[in-house]
Amino acid sequence: MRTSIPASASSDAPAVVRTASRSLSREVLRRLRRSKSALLGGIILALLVAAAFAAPLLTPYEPLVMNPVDRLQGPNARHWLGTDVLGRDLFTRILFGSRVSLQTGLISVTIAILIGVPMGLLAGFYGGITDRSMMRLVDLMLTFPGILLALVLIAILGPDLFNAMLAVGISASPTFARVVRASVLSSKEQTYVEAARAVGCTNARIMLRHILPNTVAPIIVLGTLGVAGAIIAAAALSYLGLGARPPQPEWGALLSEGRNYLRVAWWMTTFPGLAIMTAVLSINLLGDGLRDALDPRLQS
Amino acid sequence: MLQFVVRRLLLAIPTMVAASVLVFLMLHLVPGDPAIIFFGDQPVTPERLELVRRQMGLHRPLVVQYVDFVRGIPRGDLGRSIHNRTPVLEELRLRVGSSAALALAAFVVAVGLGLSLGLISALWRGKWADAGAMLIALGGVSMPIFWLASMLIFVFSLKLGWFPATGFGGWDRLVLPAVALGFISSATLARLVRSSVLEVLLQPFVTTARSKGLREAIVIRRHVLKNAFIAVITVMGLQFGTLLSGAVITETVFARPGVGKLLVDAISNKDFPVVQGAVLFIALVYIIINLLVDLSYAYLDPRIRFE
Repeated sequence: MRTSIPASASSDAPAVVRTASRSLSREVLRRLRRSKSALLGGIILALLVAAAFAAPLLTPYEPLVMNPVDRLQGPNARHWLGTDVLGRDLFTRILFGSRVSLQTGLISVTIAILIGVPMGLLAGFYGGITDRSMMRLVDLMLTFPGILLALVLIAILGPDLFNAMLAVGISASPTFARVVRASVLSSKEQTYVEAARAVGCTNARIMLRHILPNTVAPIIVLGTLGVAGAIIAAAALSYLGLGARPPQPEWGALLSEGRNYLRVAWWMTTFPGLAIMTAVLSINLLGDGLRDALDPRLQS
Repeated sequence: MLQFVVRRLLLAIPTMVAASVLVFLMLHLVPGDPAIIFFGDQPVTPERLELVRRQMGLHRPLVVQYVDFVRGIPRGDLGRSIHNRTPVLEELRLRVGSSAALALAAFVVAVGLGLSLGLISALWRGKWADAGAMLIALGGVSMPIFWLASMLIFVFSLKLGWFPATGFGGWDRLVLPAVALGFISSATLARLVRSSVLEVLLQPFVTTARSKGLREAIVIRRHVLKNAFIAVITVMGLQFGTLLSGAVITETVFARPGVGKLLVDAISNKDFPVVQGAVLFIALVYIIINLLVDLSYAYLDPRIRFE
């Protein structure tokens, strides 16, 4: 795990930190490359992200333009994955949907990190009443299983895609708070924190410059696996009609559209689901690999 | 043990109170006047608005409303649905059976599948069976439940016609939802069973049992499984949470009239008393299940009781 050295302790300190972090990232990359499954996950994810960026170049169709003449066509040479009830090309909608769904996963996890990490940091660093009150809040949030807290938040905020991201992010934040707190509790007893305090660093500086870098490994691992969970959770909310709304081509919303046409148009349900599964599987494979490479202690 | 049970029961009380506060506050955290939200875009007279506000008890101070809300819980008074004026408890009572049947059936599927996959994988470590079992488990973790459910309906209901696609009543309507929900929940369990069994297999008492000349099946059953189960039971309990939230989606896909579908419909209809009742119900079930898991854990592992 990365250990940073107080910058003011020695004039060579920044160089030492840079070297240490470079060798750590090299070591992590080396371990990642050794794991075939992580490599496979990384490659699939990279392809998905590239496809999301290059979406307009990969298809001649528009995701929202209707073409009733072509409605409910099965997969064929012109429409590789078929068309929906309004004649829109499904491949195009899934491709553009990957932009929405991948972004949804990333934004949700960013929200979870922005809420959970400061909570864990403050609770672990200050202890006492701050720790107790924050951890009780975390416990309370964890009283609601899985997607239930997100549903409660959607009930409060109202159903739409941004609120779904917010709801998924908030409901994922307790896990970040817990992991960061645990990491802070062990870091704050280290001698480099004592040294930082001795040279007169403020609490804020100690937390941000010396303790936070040591919690980065678990945050990266949790964050990566969290994106996978967030994609599924947000898609579930859209499927229930509580997230993205038609005609937005989000993967869960696409599946929801296909639900009523399962008998006549299996492709409308099958392919968006496969897209979700491919994305989530690749992120899970990469996340598992990252966990093993960055922090073997987190292995189940 | 009794001391542990009492302590653990006392610890559950603040959690329940906190959950009730959050559920109660939900209605008041909604931006805007809940009565206006209820009417949505419909035109409404001020008199009608006032009437609904009174029916919802919104004219009274917040603390009084909370105390009334909590007092009502033991009496089973969770308010009335804004939508059809039915008592919320009645709405829940009508649907608990369906949800309980689904949860139980899915739990059996999850445990059966999770244990088998985990055991196969651990006992044939490094072989094809291991890779296959873990691939299935990884698929379970990565597969959205609403997609698996739709695919099961497509194949086994619409194409093969073996099971009805939707509704409640009769075991045949339970099979597909239970398989969908159980499969998704089994994945985490399978991974855990694998790692627990592998850990126990390395223990000296397993070597001793083998060197005594015991048959492998007996070694696995008597020595390995029994010890691997302590960790597995905790996760089985925690998986019940996944099962409860998964049930919300499964019930919607299979149009099963359960508590989960009631909740989703109530959120869509902005029927807040029903949302509160359903959320409180699911949270309480979850808290009680976790309590039972802790107690069984303490029963199985005496070290826990003396911590």
